[in-house]
Formats: sequence, structure tokens, C-alpha cells
Amino acid sequence: MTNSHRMSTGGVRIDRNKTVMFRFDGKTYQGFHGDTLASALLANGVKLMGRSFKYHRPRGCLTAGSEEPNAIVELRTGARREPNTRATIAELYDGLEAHSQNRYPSLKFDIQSVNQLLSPFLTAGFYYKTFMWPASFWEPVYEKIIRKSAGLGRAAVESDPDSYEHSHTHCDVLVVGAGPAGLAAALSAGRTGARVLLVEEQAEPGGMVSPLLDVIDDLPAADWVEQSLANLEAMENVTVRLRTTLFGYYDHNVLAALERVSDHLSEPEDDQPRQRMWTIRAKQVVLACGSHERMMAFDNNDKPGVMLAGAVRLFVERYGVAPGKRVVICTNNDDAYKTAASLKQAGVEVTAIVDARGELSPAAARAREQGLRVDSGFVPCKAIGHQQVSSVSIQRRDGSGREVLACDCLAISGGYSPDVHLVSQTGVAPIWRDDILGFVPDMPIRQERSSGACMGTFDLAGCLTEGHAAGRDAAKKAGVKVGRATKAPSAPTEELAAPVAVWRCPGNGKAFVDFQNDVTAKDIQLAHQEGFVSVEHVKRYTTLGMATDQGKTSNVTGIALLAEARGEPIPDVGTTRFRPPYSPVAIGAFAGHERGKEFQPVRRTAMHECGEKLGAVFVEAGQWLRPQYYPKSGEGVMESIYREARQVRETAGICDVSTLGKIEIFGPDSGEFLNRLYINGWKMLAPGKARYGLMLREDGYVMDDGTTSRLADDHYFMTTTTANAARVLAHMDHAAQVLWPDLDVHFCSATEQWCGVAVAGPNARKILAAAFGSALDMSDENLPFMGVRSFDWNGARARIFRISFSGELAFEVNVPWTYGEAMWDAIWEAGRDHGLIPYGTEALSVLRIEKGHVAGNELDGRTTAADMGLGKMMSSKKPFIGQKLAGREGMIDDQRATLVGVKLKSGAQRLRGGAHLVADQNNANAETSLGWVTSVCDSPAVGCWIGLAYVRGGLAEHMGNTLFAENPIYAESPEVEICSPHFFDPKGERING
Amino acid sequence: MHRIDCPWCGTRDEAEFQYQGDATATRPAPDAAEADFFDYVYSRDNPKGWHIEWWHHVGGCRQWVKVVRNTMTHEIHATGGPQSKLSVPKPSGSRLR
Amino acid sequence: MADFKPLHPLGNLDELVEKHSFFGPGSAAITIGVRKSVECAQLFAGNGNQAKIAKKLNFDSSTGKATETKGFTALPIAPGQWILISKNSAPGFADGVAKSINGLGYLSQQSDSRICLRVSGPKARELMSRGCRLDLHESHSGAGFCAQTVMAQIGVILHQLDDNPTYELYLYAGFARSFFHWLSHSAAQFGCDIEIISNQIKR
Repeated sequence: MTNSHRMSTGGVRIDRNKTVMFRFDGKTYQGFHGDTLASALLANGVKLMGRSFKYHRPRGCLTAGSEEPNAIVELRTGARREPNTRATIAELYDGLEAHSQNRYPSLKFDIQSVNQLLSPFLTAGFYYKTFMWPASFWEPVYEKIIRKSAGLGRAAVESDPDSYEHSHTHCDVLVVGAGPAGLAAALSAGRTGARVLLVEEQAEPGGMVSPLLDVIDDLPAADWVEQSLANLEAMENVTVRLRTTLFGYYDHNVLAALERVSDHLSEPEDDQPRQRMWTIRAKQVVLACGSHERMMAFDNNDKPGVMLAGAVRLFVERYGVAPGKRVVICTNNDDAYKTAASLKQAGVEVTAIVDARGELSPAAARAREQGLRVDSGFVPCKAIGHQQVSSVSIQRRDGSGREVLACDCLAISGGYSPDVHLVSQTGVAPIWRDDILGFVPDMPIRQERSSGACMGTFDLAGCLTEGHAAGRDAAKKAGVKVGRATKAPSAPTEELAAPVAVWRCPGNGKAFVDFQNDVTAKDIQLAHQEGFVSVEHVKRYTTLGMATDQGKTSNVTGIALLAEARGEPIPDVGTTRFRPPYSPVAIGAFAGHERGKEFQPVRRTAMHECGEKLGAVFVEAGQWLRPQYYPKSGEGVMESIYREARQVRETAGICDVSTLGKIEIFGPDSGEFLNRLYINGWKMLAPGKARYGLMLREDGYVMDDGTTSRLADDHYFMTTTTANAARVLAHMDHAAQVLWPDLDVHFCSATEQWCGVAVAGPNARKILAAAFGSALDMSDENLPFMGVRSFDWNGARARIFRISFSGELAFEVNVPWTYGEAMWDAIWEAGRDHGLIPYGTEALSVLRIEKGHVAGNELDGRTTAADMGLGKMMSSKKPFIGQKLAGREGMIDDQRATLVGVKLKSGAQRLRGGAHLVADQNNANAETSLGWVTSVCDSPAVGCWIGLAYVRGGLAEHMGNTLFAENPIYAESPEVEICSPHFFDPKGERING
Repeated sequence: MHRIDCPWCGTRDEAEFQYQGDATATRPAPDAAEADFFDYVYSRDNPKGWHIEWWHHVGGCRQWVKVVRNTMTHEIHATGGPQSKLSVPKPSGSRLR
Repeated sequence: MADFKPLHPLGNLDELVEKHSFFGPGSAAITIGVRKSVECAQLFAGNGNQAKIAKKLNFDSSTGKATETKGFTALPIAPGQWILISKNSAPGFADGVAKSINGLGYLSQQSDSRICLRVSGPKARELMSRGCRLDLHESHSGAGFCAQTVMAQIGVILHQLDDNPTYELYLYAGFARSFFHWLSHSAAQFGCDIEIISNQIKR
């Protein structure tokens, strides 16, 4: 059978000197370089390429392009396995391995094809009707059955070894499609000097032009296409991208395209990505995306061997493949005569041309003159054959004159539907044209124009003229001086006679409309009978046009059949909305580099490696990585955390705090600005001093807190929490630019200018004094609590803040980012004799819980300053953001949940964050919940499990009470005592060392 | 995807901006009634059609850009700086249905 | 006493060059240069002083265009805001600028906050298009073009040095490794070389 259907000559896309070996369902075949998988299979006489979605009927390829609904296959193996790809656009390469889908155990014998016998039950809405009751079966039973039997291909299980990338471009004129209209548009736009980008889905330009039969500018079309491509590539202002599908037309003339860089190779070469996604910003767009041929709805029209007539011609002309040896052509229009001519020229027997039109068109008359049999007024009514077509029965439209014609290929043309997919994405409504039996785009909304077949212009001369004009118009509207008129490429004029509408041919069997989703003409009639009238409802009920091909070959027929059922003209039915993507796009292409570890950027502090060296386990804090804890060998997580916390209180610890947001604020109005941002006052803060600040959102809830220092009269240094740094800066931009532009205040992020460590514990001063030596006077007099000093340290500017989150004697030291490691090392060495240990975010949290300091868990966006016990900080002497709404009735209600401490009573095992506090453990529900636990730890300093919590009525009502910490997830309900959140050193004496 | 004309940086992709909501609300004077602040924070029209919005150019110059945008068609009529006075175009501004 | 020396956010640069000395096919069509250090500051004009500062320091305050002065390059990044980059990486050059503007504006020391990567070679523009959403076509941006934008989800200040073209990218230090990883990964298909650029800037 090898290459039994390959003709001895012809095939403009294949290179007969380069043979290519490939495998399909385990069998080895031979093709040529330039083949698609579909053309190579056809060349080898393989017509059966897949099984249909619902009925598992045998299917061959229907088309020769990306609109293919049938020949859906799995490409490659292992980690590179890619399901649901179309054999008609998969380019052949040596060693390609492909598998058919949706069949078991084999393509030729598929057990589920018994579904066909059940087909009376598998009609429109089958799933809705059948899998209704009982509801408990939906997921565990029905879903599994449905998924298994309706399965498409299998995705690879391993992670994709290839890479995908994004790229950006801008142009004056984007031309979509390199058929005759698109080439003419790109040439005319290119000659004006405009920046032109031409994208073409196929590996080669030319579109539906017939390379040998058509003549353009007195050249065989194949030569003209080749010459045009060369001319375009020679223009510096023109870029041509082949194998690139424009799949999305978005707002503001932003478009997206997928370039298949390496899909035609077994593996990407030289660090190339497999695919590249382009975001294109085009001033003007020329859509020249052509049209899609339609099938006619007749019985068994899905038999392998039944193909669209245009596709048959493309297989002959492009690949030198005769899809059959005896071909019957059925048509309702003139284009199929081109297929007949092409077949005849290639020496393939054309048994008959069955033309639905009663009158002979000029093309039909010419065919008859050339000796071809033309049956005018006839339509196909049934394809006959076992696994592939062997004959077709035809008859007059009135039912008379039935005859059976033997054939091994049935080429059907039910007319052409202009491809309005992309233009429809812009919001343009397609309008019906009776003369061409197709929808064409209405007036443009965006900066685009359609030309050629996608505008309903089907003759070659018309396409060239229209494309030429569109290219110049686009360049002109893009603001390019277009100069004198240029001549459009020309082709001999052809007179195309009008097609005649043939939607459902006579018959009672299965006449498919949507091949990919197995929707028949009967399904549409049934949906209508059951009361589905709107095209959108019929689409969803029958799944017409909802497969991955989005109904490119089926929508118009479906709409026409619905119109017939409704007894209304087609325009009254209208179309469904097309949405991106035009054809399926791999998730990997959307992700580009942003996957795995590169999903989002990672921020590392200057001291990251210091932590690494000491064995830190890192945790993600937003984009930052922070040391979470430093386990010693053999030590468990909790052991490590509590050891660190204990040792900070006993000797000293060092912690990387570089991730805090830092903002430098300048200008004479800085103090006033801070007054308006924070609830407390800032103008009286002396230079050289720091203060804790709390800011609200305008709605009165707490936004963020931190320590801000005054470095000079007109210079403040703010810190924010790690999590809220970006939000606070945006909030400040708003305040300075929108609310109070009159304030002379200026600020910028300094988060990565300064890195910082906290050194805390009784030995902190000793350690830092040893580290800094004479560079800084560490005495209490020079550096009192909340004091700030700048100093020079080995040529670097440094800042020290005496502030404490842990409640211990503590300092935060900032040095310029690049000195971070040097600072850490210096302090580490100085701390060697003083029991210095590194501590991470977990120990930091233990220490602050013991002190009752709030953090992210308590700042959940629903808490007021008063809820946190900081109500007294709210100044009444000045206005600030959030002041007014913080005074609302509900915000100052004494029944609000406010901050308390909770202590686990003895006997219980542990406390958990998220537990709800209830008075009666036997009556725990949403209504009886008094509050919730936010943070917990097994406190080394207190000697038991403690936590922070919000409780309705707060300490005033519950101090000393016993409540239950109800945790239904773990089925725990331990007893806790409500106490002050200041568990440890409530008088705050330890900050003095 | 939107392309927004930042008055300072020029036309940039939407990806550089953070949407910040209604730009027609004006913050009341600090001594205004609580109800005025309530309206400023919570009361919002949800117009079908033209609207004036804040788009913070956080990936560029960090300006709060005022944008007159059609919520139906996504057309942008005008943009301006944080203190610009912009208004919505008169009806019949859009051809989109 | 530990060695009190600065460390580049990309780590030891000699090791970096060693590790990446050359990767990709054929001859390198991209060179990624890593500036050893960047001496820079952010300048804010006080309210109403924008024009005065521009005049005093002799640069125009228009957007999208770098100004070269004797000692530094000024990149406008927002109304009344510039990033000033010292040409000879003179530490403390900002103090001199502060003196000369005499209270008309404010300077924030930013030398440590950003790293600078230089992208050059025949495929520089193509590499930039992998992450940069701006129109870098020669008809649109030439030598001196500068902009703040986002590449690979990371904020950058982009400065085109010449028409070859050569680009410098300034980005926050915390993102240094992430960005370098993305950039070198994207550059591999062109063939890429890494070099260290000493502090003296030759223009």
C-alpha cells in the first residue's frame, strides 16, 4: 500500500528527494518532506484517522487545514505527547509518532462503536436527560462514565521538556493570512514604507490559490506566490511569519498569535522554544483569512473518503496525493469545478460532477464540453460503504432519478463560509448575504478591514484587487504617506455563478452537521421541537459548534437548518458569538517562561546566602524568600523554632528583616503628610527618633503598621510590613497626587537600598558594640529606646534603630544592600562569644505572640485600631485618612471582637489557629461563636500553649473566663482561659536589657 | 487588552497599570459629615457606557492616571494626570452595540 | 573582623562569568554585560521647582529621553523625578548635586537599590522584544531613549545607549537573580556571552 495514492508528479509543497519515515498507531509509513500527517496517510491509502466523539464512528480527514473536525490525533510520545492536534496541519518529520484517539482497542475495531446502535438515545440533550437522577451519582458515577466514553486524547503525564516563550511586537499594518488577498495587501502596504507584519498559519503562503491552474500577473500562481514572498522578505519594513496563527483579536487593536517554531521538528533545536506567543499592537489590520468550505447534510456524510472538494484539490496540488482513484464531486457552486479540473489534470478519474443547481453554470458547461459527466439538479443522498466510502447514491432534489455511483472518494462542496471568526471577536456582527449563502462582516468597529474570501469575494481577480486596496488603505490610515497609486496584481476575470442553497439532502439517516461533536441534522430539528428556538440555546443544547474547531465547517449549516425548522429566513436566526482562541492553543504557550520556579519572580535579600550557609529553611513571603527556621541536625521543625525563640530571650539572636518595605520621604510637608496617613502624630517627633505608626484605609479599618523615623527636619524613613509594602506605596501615591497635590512631599521606595538585621536579646548591645567598635557609641545615652543614629562603618553609611518587636533589648541595623553579607558576617563573628544564634520568621512570630504584638494574622482587613487595643493611638487633634468612618456606630460598638490573649488550660494537647471560641462546647455554631483564634504557639517563655484571639466584648467582658476553642476540622475543643495578650514581661522592662 | 495613554509615559499596555476604581468621587473636606465620607467610600454608580476611572501606572511613572473609558466597548476617550478635569463624551460617541 | 566589602546582588561576578561564559548555538549574538556597581540617586524637584532644577543642572525635563551631563546621566522617570547615574561611579556624587541645586529638590541615595545589565549584540533588539512591551523599533526609539516599564513581571528602567542598539536595564537588587535567569534563558537561542563591565563607563 506504500504511497499507493501518491501521484508520480505534482505537489508544490513536497520535496520528493527527502523521504520521511513516520509511525501511525504503531505502523511505519513513508512520506515526503513537506507533507502533513494527513497528506502522508492519504498517500499511503490510509483514510481512517479517528473515531468520532459520541458515536465512535470511523472518520477520515474532512479538510486540509486547521478547521479539521475529524482527523484529531495524538502527536509524539512520552513527555512530548500532545493530544487533540489536527493531522491536517501537523507537519511531517522523520520519526514522527502519531496515535489515533477515542478508540479501544484499535481504530479499525472500536468497541464503543456500539454507541451507534444506541443512537436513538444519544440525541440532542442526551446527557442532560439521562444523567439527571440521582444527584449523588453526578460526580462519582456519571462523570466517570461520560469522561471515559467521550474522552479525547491523553495529555502527557510528565512535565513538558520543551520551552515556550512570549514576544512582543508593534506594526503599522498587520495582515492576517497569506492567500492571494493577504499577499496583495502586504505587498501594497509594504511598498508605502509602512511597518508591515504578515502572519500565515500554514508553512507556506498561497492559501486556496491553485498553483498551476490559476494565473496571476501572467505567471502560474505558484510562481507568483513564490516571487511575492521573496519580494516581501526583501523589504526591510516587512516581516513575514509563517506557521503563525493569529488566534485572538482583543481591545485596542492588540492581537495575539502563536508561532509554531519547532512543531515541525522532532525536538526544538539550539535552545529554541517549541512555540512562541506574540502580542501584536497594530495600528491597522487587514484581515485576509479566507473562507471555510461547508459539507452538505446527507446520510452517512461522515464516511472516511467523503471530503470537502477544496481539500481534495489541495491534497492533489500541494502534496501530489490523490485522495481517491475514482472521485465523485457533489457541489452547489462553481468552485468544485476547479477541483474537477485539478483532478483531471492530475490524471484522476472524475466519475461525475453532481451539481445541485438546475441550470448549467458557465463552469459546468465548460466541464461538460471537456467530457466530464455533469448531473445538474442532483444532490447526494447517501454515502455507502463499510469503513470507507465505496459508492454514493444521488437523486434529483425532488426525489426522482435515484442512481448509485461507485467511487472511493466523494468530494463535496456545500458552498463557502467567509471566515468571520476574528472580526467577530471585535464585536462586529456578521450579516447574511443571500447571493453567496454566507455571513460577511458588518462595518468595522476597530481599525481593521476584511478583504478577499473572508469578505465574501471568491474570484481570484477580486481578491487581488481588494487585498491591494486594503493594504494601501491600512497604511494610509496608519499615518503613512502612501504616495502615488500602484497597480494591483491581476488575474483573468472569471464569472462565478451563484450557488444554490442545499442544507439537508433527502434522507432519514444520520446526516452530520457538526462532525467533531457528532451533531446531526436531526438533533437540530429535535432541539427545535423541544422548544429551543434561540441559536445560542440550540448551540448549548446540541453542542453544535462547541468543539475545539468552534464549528468552522458546521455553524452556517446548523443555523440554516434551525432557520428551516423555525420557518424563518437565516438572518433572523443570527449567529453565535466567536471567541478567542481561533484554534486551540497549548496552555504552555500562554504560560511561556512563567512556569515552575519561574511562575513569578523571586526576591532574595542580600543576606540570603548567609541564611543558606546556616541551614535556613526558606519560606515564601509574597515574592520574597525569608529564612523560616534554622534546624540543627536531627532537630524537628517545632524544636528548632522554640529553641530559637528561647535563646533570643536568653542570649541573643540575629534575624534578616530586609524584606520590610522601606520608603524615604522628603520635603517640608513630610510631617503633615504623615499626620494625614497615620492615626498618630508625627510633627513633634524629634529628628533621631522613631515611632510606631498605624494607618487606616479610608473605610476606617487598619491597613498597615510599622516604625517610621525622622532622620532630619524634612526627611523621614518609613517602614511597612513585608506584605503591604506595595499597597502602602500606592496609597501614598494616591494621597500625594490625587488628594493633596499642594503638599510639598516626595518619596520613593528604598526597600532594596537598605538591607537590615534585627539583633535581639540581653546580649544584643554587647554584640553590636563588639561588631561596630569605635564606629558607634552604643550607650543608652547615645542610643535610647526608639533612638535612631546614622554612622559610617568601614566606608559604608549605616543606620541603627533601637526598636523591639520581640520585647527584648533589640536593635535593627541597616546598611546599603551590597554590604548585607559583610554586615551579617561581622555581627555573626562578634556574637560568637555571646551566644548569638540566627532566628527565622517562626521564632519571630513566637516572640511577638508572647508580647501580644499584632502581625499579618491579626491585620486581616476587618479590624479597627480599637479592635487591636490601639484605639487610644487615634489622635483627635488632627484629621487623618479613615478617621471619619472609623467613628461609625458599628466600628466603635463595644460588642466588637477585640484582641485578647488565650491560654490553653492544662490537660489539653494543643491550640490551633482558626479555632472558634464558644462558651458551650455542645452548642458550637456560627451564631454562638464569640470570636476566633488568630495566632498560636507553645510558648517557651510562658510554658504553655498561648494565642492571640479576637473575642466579642474583649477583655472587658471575658477576662479570666473559660471558653472552648472549637475546631471541627480536627474535632478538638480544648478549654482556654481568656487573658491579657501581654503574656510575657507585661511591664516591658526587658527592652532595657 | 487595553492600551492606555499615560500622559507622561505615552501609550502603554494595560499590564503596566493597576485599576483603582471610580475617579469621579471626590474626597470630602476633613470636617464633612460621616455620611459624605460614606458616600465617598461606598456609593458607586455602575455605569454601562462612559465612566471616569483611575488607572495607577504602577509599572511606569507611578502616576494616578485618569481615564475616560467606556465600560461596554472598552473604548478610551481621553486620559489625563491626577489633577486633570475630564468629562465623558456626549452620547453617540460609540459605534459598538 | 570579616571582610567589609560590597557584594554584587548577582553574587561573585567572576563565578557568574565562569558559569555562563558562553552558551547557545554558533557565535554569540547577544552579550549581557553586568555593571560591577552603579552609583546613582533619585532626584525629586520640590513643588514648582521642576523647571528651575532642569535649568540649573542643564537637562531638559521632557519624558522618554536621557540627558548626558558632564558627571552623570539623568533618566527622567516621573514628573519632576530623575534617576541620576554617575559616569565614573564616583561615590557620593549625589552630595555634589545636592549642593548645586541648593534646596530646590531632594536626593535619595539609591546606589545599592538597583543593578544594571547591559544588553548588546546583533540580536539585542530581538531579545528585548521577548519581554519588553514597548516599541523599540528604530523608527520609534533611538539612542538616549529611556522608559520605566515591566519585563518578565519585573519593573525595569530601560536606557538605550546607542543605535546598534545597546540597552541598559536597571532593576531592583532583590530581583537580580530572577531577572538574570530569565534574560540569560531567553538569550540562549541567540548564543550569549556574559561580561563584567568595570565602573568606568565608556560612551
